[in-house]
Amino acid sequence: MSWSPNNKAHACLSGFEIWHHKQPKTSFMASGEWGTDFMIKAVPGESPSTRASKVDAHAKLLNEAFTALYGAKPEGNLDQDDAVAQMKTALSDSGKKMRDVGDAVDAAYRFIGELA
Amino acid sequence: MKKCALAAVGCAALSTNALAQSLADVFLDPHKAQICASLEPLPTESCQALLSEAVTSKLSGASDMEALTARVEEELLDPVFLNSAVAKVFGGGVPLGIEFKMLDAEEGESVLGLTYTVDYEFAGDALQPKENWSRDYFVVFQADGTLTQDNERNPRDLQDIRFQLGASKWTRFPPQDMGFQTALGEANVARAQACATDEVLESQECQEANAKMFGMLDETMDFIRAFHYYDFGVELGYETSQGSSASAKKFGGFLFGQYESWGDGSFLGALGITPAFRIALESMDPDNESPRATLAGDDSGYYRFSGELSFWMPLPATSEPLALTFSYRHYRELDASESVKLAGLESNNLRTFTLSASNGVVVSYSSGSLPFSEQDEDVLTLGWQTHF
Repeated sequence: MSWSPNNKAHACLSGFEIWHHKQPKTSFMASGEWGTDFMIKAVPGESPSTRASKVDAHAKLLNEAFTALYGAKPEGNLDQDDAVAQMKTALSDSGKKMRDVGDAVDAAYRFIGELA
Repeated sequence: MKKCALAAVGCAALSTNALAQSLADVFLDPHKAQICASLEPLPTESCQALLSEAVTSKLSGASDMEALTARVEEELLDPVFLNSAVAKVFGGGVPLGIEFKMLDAEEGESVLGLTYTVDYEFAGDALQPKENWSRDYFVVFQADGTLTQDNERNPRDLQDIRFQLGASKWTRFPPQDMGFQTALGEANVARAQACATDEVLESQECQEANAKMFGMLDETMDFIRAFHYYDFGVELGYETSQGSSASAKKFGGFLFGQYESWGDGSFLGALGITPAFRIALESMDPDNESPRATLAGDDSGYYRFSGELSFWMPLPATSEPLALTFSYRHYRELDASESVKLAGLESNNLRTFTLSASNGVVVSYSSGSLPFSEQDEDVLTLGWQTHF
């Protein structure tokens, strides 16, 4: 699915990341091009073990934000562990971008107002 | 023309080649771009040179294969091309985090490197939340490292494979009432639509939507002061190097922590600085090919402490989001023998300073070494993002 401001999962992911990274001058479309390294605040030179932990930390941060602040729930056949795992798969690949993570979020969560 | 008069045969050959080249250009020029676009991700320059050479050699029977080979080889070893080729082969399902990078080491010499990452979770599940903490456990297999075209010139020559059994805990957010949740979701959608592109960022509609969304998320600072994340556990692993048969088995414990201040009330929060650390204590069992054995004559087992500290800081809002980062890694053999100390192998340090952009392009400077390196080296890394 293409990165769209009309998609609630995409809009909520973009908005939260822009706020979380203190980047108010970033447009929705530009945020879709953020690399996963930037999203998880990876630091070049750190060990792969540390990067893996940061992936886990960021996926869990997003899960807390989506479920507690935005009222999102995992899609019918998933639980929160599954949803976190889907985001981790996208975040762990340093070649992917926020729009790729957006698709994982869209597939894993149902936000308030989205059809079941 | 004087040269042609003196060497008629050579001149005739030269003229034939030049004529063939001209004809090739006339026939090919209008179509080169279209043909090469269909052969993407083959680099455009190489594609066009190959086409020209093919037509020229057909017309004149001669070709400059050496020049062509050198040109194509240079472009085919470009990380941008290699990354796009890998993406084309695997489409959306790359089994490894593979990325080509150009590593500059030893007085500006460049080495093409391939970094890889595997992270597979065998088992894991959430545990009952405790007070303000969410918790879970995990069993994972991870592997990573850097390979270079020339074994001997790998400036980051550490391949690492490990199984981890551990647990993690992190800050639990208190669920908000549905009114807030609904309004926050709507504010995010309104912001995404009003600030969809760079061209409308300065519009009043965008600025109002931006202020509303930021204001609502800022309200969460009243009940979330910071996001903490910790993981810890035991690890069974294997380290080796590409350039030699040296290797070491390891077993030990680790602790990782990351702290993100949620508000502007603290120094870290105001600047958005995110610190992280990882410490480990490991029992190492090296083989007799390790630098420790070959240079210090000591292949006995030993205990090793490793620690790393990193900081990530966003730069003030610019047209392109940027982050300034620093990483420090330290490995130290505990109670090292005199021979190991004399060989200067009891510790390794690696420092890396980086200016990274949000789209993944990275310029970084590293100094120091990792285990298995026999000497310190300064490395300038230019990375290109992949599009798997």
